[in-house]
Amino acid sequence: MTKEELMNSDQLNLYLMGLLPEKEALEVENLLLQYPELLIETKENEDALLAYANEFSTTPPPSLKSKVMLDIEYLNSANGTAKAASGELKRSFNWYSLAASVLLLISVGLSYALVQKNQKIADLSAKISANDLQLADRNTQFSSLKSTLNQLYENDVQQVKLKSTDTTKNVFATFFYNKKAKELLIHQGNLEKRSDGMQYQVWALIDGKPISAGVFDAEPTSDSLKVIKTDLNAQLFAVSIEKQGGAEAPTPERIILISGRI
Amino acid sequence: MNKKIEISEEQLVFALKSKSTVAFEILYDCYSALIYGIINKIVNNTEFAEDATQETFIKIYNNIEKFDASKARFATWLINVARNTALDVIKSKNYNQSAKNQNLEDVVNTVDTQKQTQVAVETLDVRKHVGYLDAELQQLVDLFYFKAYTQQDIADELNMPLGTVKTKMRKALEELRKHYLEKP
Repeated sequence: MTKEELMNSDQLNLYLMGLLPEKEALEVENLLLQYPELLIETKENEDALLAYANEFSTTPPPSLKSKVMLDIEYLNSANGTAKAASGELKRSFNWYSLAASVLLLISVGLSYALVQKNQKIADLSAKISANDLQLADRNTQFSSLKSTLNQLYENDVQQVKLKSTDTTKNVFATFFYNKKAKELLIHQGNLEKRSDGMQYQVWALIDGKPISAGVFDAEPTSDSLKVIKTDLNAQLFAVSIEKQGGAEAPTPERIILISGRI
Repeated sequence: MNKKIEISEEQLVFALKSKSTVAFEILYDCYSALIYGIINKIVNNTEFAEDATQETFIKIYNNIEKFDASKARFATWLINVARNTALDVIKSKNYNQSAKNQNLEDVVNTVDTQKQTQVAVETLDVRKHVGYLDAELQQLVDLFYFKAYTQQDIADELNMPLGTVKTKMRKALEELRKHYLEKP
């Protein structure tokens, strides 16, 4: 197709209005790349037509808003996905809390019995030097860092940079997304430690819908990576500031970071 | 007193995808005038326009997952949903019956009856004429942008050679760019 043919084609007009199917839109885009001046003109035409459409903006009758919002509330209650998912989370949490409490009781009981039965073991434990403890602690830290580095060097780990939704603020964080290990490693970047009782909540966009991937706290000047287990196949990630434990859905004005498409 | 919330389009779209009621309220506050205005322009009947606007928000709710910001402008996508809904309305039996009844009333109330113009042109609300665009060019843009007519459809509708339609379309878009995008 020549430039002239493309300029006068319906394809270009339909592309301009966003009415072309994805495959055909891609073909037009590829053609437009051959004629950069036409690409610019097409984008300008879209802007001009949006401005033209705006000329016809008319405030609808006030009663319409309540009708629309009733529809949305009805659809949300009929859908109920977010609430059900949240219920699952709460149920899981309660179950785990109960299980943890039981395990703690058993553990305390066993420890007590052991201490009673074998005082010698307790004495020996008390003799472990502070240096040995420190060494063990550092070994653990070293192993953890080594394991993290190994994870980052794996081929399947994808680096995802998240930028601020507010262009006037230089806030950022970096995720390392390991689909194979089903892990999301979070480097908090320059996120501030929150003193308002709120937490950072990670959202993964799945099939066009944000799903909570978990919450995390930012530490002051921390370079360690926070690990969130997730088997979500995300199209992009975002971070919002939510109440402790997270929200069912991201609060629009509190979405602070968003990534590009993965 | 309502708390004023300032959010970016990026934040809004992300929140809409989670079906947040708050996000849909913000969407309504920001875009209902554009959506209702376009629909009213196409159906030219406030009652049908209200219903179609309501329907449009339901469609947005049901399809927001499909919106991909890397492939389309959000406003263009919203206009598409609104346009398609309005075009479905004007094809509906109810609308056509109502339009016929309205036409009869018009005939009764009009002393100086004019020649019958094209039906498609009639359905568009042509009351608002933007001053910087020649009336004929505006008609072309309206048929193209609001009624999604192909250039051949426009040529047939206005009984104009296809080549003329193409030339006038380019001229109309040039005028729009000049008016909205060029600094004075």
